[in-house]
Order: sequence, then C-alpha cells, then structure tokens
Amino acid sequence: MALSAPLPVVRARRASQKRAAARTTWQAYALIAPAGILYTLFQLVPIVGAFVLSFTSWNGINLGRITFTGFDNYVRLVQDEQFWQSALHNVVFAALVFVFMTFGSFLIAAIIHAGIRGGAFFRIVFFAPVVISSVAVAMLAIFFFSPSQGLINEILRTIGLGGLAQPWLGSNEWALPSVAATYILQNFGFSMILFLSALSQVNDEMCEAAEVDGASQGRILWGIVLPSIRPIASVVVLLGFINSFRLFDTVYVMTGGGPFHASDTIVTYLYRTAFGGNQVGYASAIGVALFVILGVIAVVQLRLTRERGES
Amino acid sequence: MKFARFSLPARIISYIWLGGLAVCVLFPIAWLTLSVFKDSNAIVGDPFAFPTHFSLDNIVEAWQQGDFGRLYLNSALITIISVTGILIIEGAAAYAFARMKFTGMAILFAIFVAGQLVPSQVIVLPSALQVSALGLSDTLLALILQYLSWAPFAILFLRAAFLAVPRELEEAARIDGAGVFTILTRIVLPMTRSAFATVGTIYALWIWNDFLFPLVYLQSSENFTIPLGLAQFQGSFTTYWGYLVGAIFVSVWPPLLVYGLLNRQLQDRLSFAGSKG
Repeated sequence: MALSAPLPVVRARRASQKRAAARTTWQAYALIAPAGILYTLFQLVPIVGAFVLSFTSWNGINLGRITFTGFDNYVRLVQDEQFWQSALHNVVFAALVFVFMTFGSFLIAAIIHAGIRGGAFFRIVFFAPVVISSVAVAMLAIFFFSPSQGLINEILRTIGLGGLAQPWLGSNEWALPSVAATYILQNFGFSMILFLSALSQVNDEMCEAAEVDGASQGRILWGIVLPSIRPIASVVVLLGFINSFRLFDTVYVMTGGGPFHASDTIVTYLYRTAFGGNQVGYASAIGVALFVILGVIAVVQLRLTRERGES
Repeated sequence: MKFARFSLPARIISYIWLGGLAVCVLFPIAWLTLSVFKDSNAIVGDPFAFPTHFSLDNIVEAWQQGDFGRLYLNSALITIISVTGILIIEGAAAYAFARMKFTGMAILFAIFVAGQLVPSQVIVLPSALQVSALGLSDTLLALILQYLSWAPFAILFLRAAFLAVPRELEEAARIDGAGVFTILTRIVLPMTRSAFATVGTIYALWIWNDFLFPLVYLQSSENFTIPLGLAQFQGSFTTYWGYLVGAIFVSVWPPLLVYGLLNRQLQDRLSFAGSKG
C-alpha cells in the first residue's frame, strides 16, 4: 500500500505539533518581553543616543539649540591633548593594575593555595574591601594621603623617613599612583578569589609527578599551573584592563582628576565635559571613543588567548 | 605545589608580603574604628593615639547630619526591588533562551550579549537626558528601571544554569501530566537555586555600591543612596574631620558585618560566577 498522503492521524499530530510550536513561540516572546522592553528602553536607546549626539553640538538643556556638526567632535577629539592625556593615564593605570593587581593576586593565590599558614585568614582579609563601596574607601584613603595631617606622611616622619613625605594627591607625579594604590588595595581580593577557584581545579597529580622528577616550585608554577588555568587567567587580565579604562569613582572622590588634570581619566574627563562644561555632543564623542577602545581591547585579548590556546 | 617545599627565602618573602598586605588592609579599618571615638582635634593632632574617652558623638552627628537612616532606607529599597525584579525578569528571559525554540532567538540573544561589552559610562549621559525627558529625573524609580535593564550578565549566567538542568527530567514530568508552573517550581527552580543566589549577590553588590547613576540621576538629598550621601560629606565637612570619620564608619561597618557573617558563601558564589563569566 502506497502512503502518498499522510494518514489522518499523522496529519492531526503534525498540526498539533505546529500549534504547540506556535504556542511556545508566543510563550517565549512573552517571557522575554519584560527584559527586552527594559533593555531596549534603558540600554539600547541611550547607546544609539550616544552615537547620534556625538555628531551634534548641544548644551544639553535647550532642545531647540541642537545642531548637527558632522564629524567636528571627532576631529576635535583627535586633536584634544587633554583627552589623550586622560587616555594615557588610563594606560598607565592599566599597567599598574596588570603588574600589581592581576599578576600580584595570581602569586598571592598560588601562595595561599600552596598552603601558607593562615591562608584562610588572608583570604577573608584580602576580600573584605571588595564589599565596601569605592566611595567610602576613597574617602578613607584621603585621610592617609593628605599632605600635612595625612597618616602616610606621619608614619614616614615617625620612622625617620620624613624626606620621603609628599603632598601625594596634590602632586603631579604622585596623584595617579596614589589613586592606583588605593584602587588596587581595594580590588585585588576579587582577582585573588577568581585565581583561587581556578587553582582548586588544577590537577594535583601532575604537580606531584613533576615534584618527584625534581622540578622546582617555580618551574611547576610556570610550566604546569599557569598553563592549566589560562582560561580564567585571561578573564582576569581582561577584567583588569576593562575596569582600568572604566575607572571613575576612586579618581572622582580622591582627586577629581587634579591637580591640573594630572590624574584625569577618560571617564572623569567625560563627566566634567558633560556636566561641568555642558558640552553634551563632545562628551558623547568621548563616550563613543571609550566604547571603541574597550571593544579593541576585548577583541585583541580574545585573539591572543585563542592563538595561544591553539598552538 | 606545597608551601613547605618552597625555598627558605621564598617562604620568608611570602610571609612578609602577605602579612604586610594584611596590615595595609586591616590598619585603615582599625584606624577608622578607633578614630571614630575621638574628637576632631585628636584625630588630626594625634592620629595614632588610642582614644582616651569613648564618645559616640561622631557617629551620632554623622548619622543625623547625613540623614543616614534615609540613605540606608533608599539604598535598601532600591537594591531589594531591583535585585528581586532582575531575578524574575531576567530569569524568565533566560529560561526562554535556554528551553524554547522560536524565530529570531539567535538575534535576540546576540543583542542581549552584546550589551555586556558596552560600559555603563558610555550610556550614562544620554540616559540622564532620557530620564529627564521621561519626567523621571530625581526619582528612585529612574534608578530602579536602569538597574532592571542591566540584563546581559544575568541572562548569560542564568541561561547557562538552566541549560545544565537535564532536559529529560522536565520531559518526564510533562509526560506525568505536570504543567509548566509545576515543572518550574518543583524541578527547574530548586535545581538552579545557587545560580540565582550568585546572580542576586553580585547584582546586590553592584547596585548597593553604584555611584555613577545616582550621581547623575538624583538631585535632592532625600533621594540619595549611601555612596552619594557619603560623597556629599567630603565637600561640606572638610574641616570637621570627626563627622567625615563618623560618616565613613556608618557606611562601612554594616556591609563588613554582613560579610563577616557570610564571607564563605559570598566568596564561593563570586568565584563561581567569575569562572563562568
């Protein structure tokens, strides 16, 4: 018997499957709708807004006085020394974060994981500042870095190193490093627990075998442990870079970008341009530039890890 | 690796380094905690001296001047409403992405994921303009709506958690006649509870400590959150250090106490999230 046409039963089942599929589609849309609407309204619209505004000149107050100026803002941005200076500060900051926070917390995690006495205590203490608001930490730091009554200078004088006393936050050379030290001390605990959780998944047998073969602890760290936690290591490195370029709270509270822009970052410059200078169009162009910089960092980082992973 | 097998200099350096760092972290907290009991002159004049008499004036004054009762209420309201909303709204979307097939799924998901790459600092300015255009400037509602739209991380993370629930379990329940609601409440949610707890913890920290959006959205002090209210102290009481110390003290200790109670769970959750993110 040739079954050229589906039996009625089969046809009915297919129709009901189709109906079921249509129903799941509507259910899915209904489930996604609240998230989608909020996300569109308060994330996507502002993103598009930032792009559109970056081609305008506007004081942000009077809608009638908004004028399209083409690429003027971007031409200005390329020539704006203050922007490049701010961006350079972000690069310096990112370098400090990479060495002292990312790499430092890797070593700290390795030491704790290896079983230093008091490891649990160090873990709890190092992570504690992460839960505190960065504003509170920055304000506390001001007490320490303050020039005349600050605790750091006081300590230096007490131990006879008064010559090293600095106006820290008021000095061109030391403002940015002081902010960086505060930021790193607050946040290295987060990188540390990411590394610790990665280390707990490392195959101990390989390390033991290498130890039996007489490999030094340093060789094991470089040759076995680091390669096997590379995925998380690359996430922590990327987070360090991205957060260095998004830096705002700590700088804003501690120095406001000063003295004379010596600790300005892209975001503090953006904030001042927008809300202090009422140059909404230009500030939007700075925001778009930041977006591009972060995108490039993410792509480069992804490429690098992928290439290494393949080789 | 075994710490006992480190060379002697390496062990000594390790202890000095970690011990020194612990001092760097603990000393400011200890200094804050002792100084809060001293008057302004003693804080500045003799910063390392132990307080001679324990006065609660700084704490009480800072609490009243800064209206910290109001600040805590605002921060708590915003955080609780936003985090609860995020878990429900983003959880629902994540479930659809994990379990249902529908037209446009790949594109919609890609759009959500792409948002992860856009830093909030880029959207803060246009979003402030938008909020005032909507007539929502200087309201807690504007902040809550902004936080509810922080979807990418929650959706990515919760979707992964839903995908880890074996499909067979749900299908078996369906064959036994269980409805969507029963399957969700009896099978799916209990199995993804820890992922929800992780997302809730991370967002609570982000929202509680957020400074940028309150700074650009809010103008009147009765709407301020803790970081914003605290930052106001810096400008207004620069000369009166006792108030400043008091304000930092009352903003720092409650979260630290919560951390002290929950530190193990908190660390496990966050590191788990970091390894997935």
